[in-house]
Amino acid sequence: MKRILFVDDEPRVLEGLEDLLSSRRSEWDMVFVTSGDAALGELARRDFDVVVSDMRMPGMDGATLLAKVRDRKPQVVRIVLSGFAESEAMLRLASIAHQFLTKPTSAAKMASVLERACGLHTLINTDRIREVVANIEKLPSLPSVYATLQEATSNERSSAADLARIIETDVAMCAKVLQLANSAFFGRGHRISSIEGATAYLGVNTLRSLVLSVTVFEPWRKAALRGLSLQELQTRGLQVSTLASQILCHDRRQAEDAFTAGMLHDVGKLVLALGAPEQLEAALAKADSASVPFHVAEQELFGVTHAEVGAYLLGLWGLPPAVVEAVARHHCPSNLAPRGLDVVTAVHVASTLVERYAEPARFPPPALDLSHLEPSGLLDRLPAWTELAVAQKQALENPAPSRQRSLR
Amino acid sequence: MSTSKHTPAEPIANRRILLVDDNTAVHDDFRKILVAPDQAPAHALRALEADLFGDAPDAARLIGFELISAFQGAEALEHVEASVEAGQPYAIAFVDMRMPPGWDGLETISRMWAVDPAIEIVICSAYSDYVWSDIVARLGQQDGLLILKKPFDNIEVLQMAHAITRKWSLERQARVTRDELERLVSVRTSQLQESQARLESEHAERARVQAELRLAQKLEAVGQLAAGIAHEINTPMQYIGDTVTFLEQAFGKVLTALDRGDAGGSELEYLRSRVPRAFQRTLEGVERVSSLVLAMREFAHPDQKEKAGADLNRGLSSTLAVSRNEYKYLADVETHFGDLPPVECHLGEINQVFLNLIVNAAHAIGGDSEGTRPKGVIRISTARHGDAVRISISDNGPGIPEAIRERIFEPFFTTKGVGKGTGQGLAIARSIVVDRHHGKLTLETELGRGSTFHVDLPVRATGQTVAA
Repeated sequence: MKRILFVDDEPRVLEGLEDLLSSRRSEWDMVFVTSGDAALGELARRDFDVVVSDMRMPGMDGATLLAKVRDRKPQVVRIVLSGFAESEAMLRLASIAHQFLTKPTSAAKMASVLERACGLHTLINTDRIREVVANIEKLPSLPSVYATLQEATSNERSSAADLARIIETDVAMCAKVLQLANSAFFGRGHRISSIEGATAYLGVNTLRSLVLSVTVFEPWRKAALRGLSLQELQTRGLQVSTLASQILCHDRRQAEDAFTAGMLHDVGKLVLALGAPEQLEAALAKADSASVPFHVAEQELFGVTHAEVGAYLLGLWGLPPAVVEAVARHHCPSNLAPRGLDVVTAVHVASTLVERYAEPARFPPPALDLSHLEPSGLLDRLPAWTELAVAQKQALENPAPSRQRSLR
Repeated sequence: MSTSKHTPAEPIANRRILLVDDNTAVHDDFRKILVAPDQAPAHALRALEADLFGDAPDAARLIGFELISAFQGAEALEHVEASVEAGQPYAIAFVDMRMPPGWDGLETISRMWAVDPAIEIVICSAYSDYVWSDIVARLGQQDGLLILKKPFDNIEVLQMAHAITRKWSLERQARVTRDELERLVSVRTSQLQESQARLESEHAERARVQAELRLAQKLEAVGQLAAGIAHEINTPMQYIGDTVTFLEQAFGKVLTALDRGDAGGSELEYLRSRVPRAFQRTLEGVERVSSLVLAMREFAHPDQKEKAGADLNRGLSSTLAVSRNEYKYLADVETHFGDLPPVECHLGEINQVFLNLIVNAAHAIGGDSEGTRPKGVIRISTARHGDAVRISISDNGPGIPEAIRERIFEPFFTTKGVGKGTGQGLAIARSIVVDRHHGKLTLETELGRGSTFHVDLPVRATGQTVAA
């Protein structure tokens, strides 16, 4: 049974939600309070999985409340439901709340956001890692990319598309931009999975304030994060993006999802490097000594891998389910029922092939999940995909101008 | 034709005389009387004298006159025309009455006057061919007309020449002076008209700028309200939507239960306990949105040119409704509305004053931050005092420090942070109350206790509305 806390100074909003969600009473234990103080009292008494809070309330406002929730119960999913529509205030919240809904939010949207927030826990079985992920406000960006973006945003003539081209080379920026674009604050409920769509949606002015806001994007000052190279993470991300979207080139919509999921597939490593570096190091050492793929070592040691950790973060941030799922399953799609060539499969194949042809590591690359590909009838496509990967590798070694765009 | 120099710089001295007579002897006589015998050499001598002694004007006065001869009327007319054209008019024309074969004297005179009405005429006649009244009737005037009876006395002619040239000069001088005066008057008049027009357009411009400033401040205030109003509408929309969805589900469940013939069950019990309240809540939400929309319409009350009787208590209520989101997190509002007569005013502008004062009161209580401070109180009271009404808006904020009390009504004076206010609110409020409505806007404040703004307005609008 999941427990959800709703906070709003207008009792009728709470009554409406209580009635609306009354058919879920068997799955969700819902508590309704009209002030921040009462909410903190409830949180002290028992555990909650999700908090949904109004922003403007007399006494303690929503931002203050959610900041306290973050400090006291970091694993709780924090969602804003506000009738207030100022983007400035919303950017201030970007690091405090996981998701933002604006009033009026449709009943269907509300139910699906809560379902997904409550379903996320199945990805990760330990509270500690959930806390680590829920505590992540922002991810580090490559200083070079950050500087380029700063320069581009200060140029009056930069278009959203110009900025998109920069943002999509950085894992952290991709994730943040998608989080904001998918918040109901900016969006009208439909999911946005492409970086280009997200930047166009947010617009140049919002992106400019994002760059200026110290709480959203942040350049990383250290070259390596305890055994993890940020540069390598970005390069691999781009390679997997490109390859995965090529594999799905027949379907534009899916190709976009695959591009984003490919870019973000290893975002969990970044989360671990920030929040649980010792776990990352232990898994690296284990992979080395036992000569097994990295994710296998993680699974054996902790029962959870960077794939689930990354997916958990993206889920918390409200990214489209197709992207979250592809990130979560990029090592072993066979856990899912066979369903042909889709985003999950494309990202799995692309990430495995890119690793295979990358610089040799001390431990073996992940293996293709044949038990997934065979029943899906995709084995005969492998040679063509391998060719694509090899071609990409060669192109990378002899870079041609604007390679990255032409491949898409 | 004249050979003498006549400079335009001294137009008034004119000793040019035209003699019109068919008799050559008369011409000789006149020349003897009016002109020095040896004109040309005398001229040279006088010029030398003037060079030597510098007293040329005195010498010139002695010479007498410049005499031009014409023997027929037509010839005389040609001389007059040429003289006018050259800007050297004749002062006098001596005209004989009978000059066969050409025009007679009267014909000649009337033609010359047509060309130069200022020329003085002396009619020379041996006998009365015409009686005076006939002459006047024919020429249409008697001013500037004289008769010299033949045979004439030399002295008489000379005196006439002197007197009449003098008369011509004086008249000319008078005319010039009058023309100059008229010109000066008309120049001055047009200058006055210009500055009058300039004043009027400056006044209109000033009124326009003031009106624009009021409008800009109103738009700014309304713009700030817009986000708050959206919030005020979005909140009921949220629970209306949720509740109607619930009612739809509930209706489906009830239908299913009816189809099954099953009237009991815990689900139906739940619905039985919740559905009545859900309907009530929906209606409350709809009522809230529609009353807010009504208040917005009343608040934005389009300004008429003329003042009209208005219910200020209602104006305050609308203003409170549209600005609710600005103060509700910071303060509770207490209203004590007295009985007010309709007050003749521009209600839209007065609402703007109320809005500025209410928002200021909220900000005074809330300060810059909205964290977790306890709520304050805004008290609003209205009362009638004879022919005036008083609206008082109080806050229990920190009060206004002595040092800035004098300055709060100044344009651009603000204590709020950048982007929070332009410092126009109180300046505009005072302009609306004082200049536009002949009222008063006064402040009572005490540090640590709060501030009260009093708006005093006359019930009946009197006199002109000052545009400024």
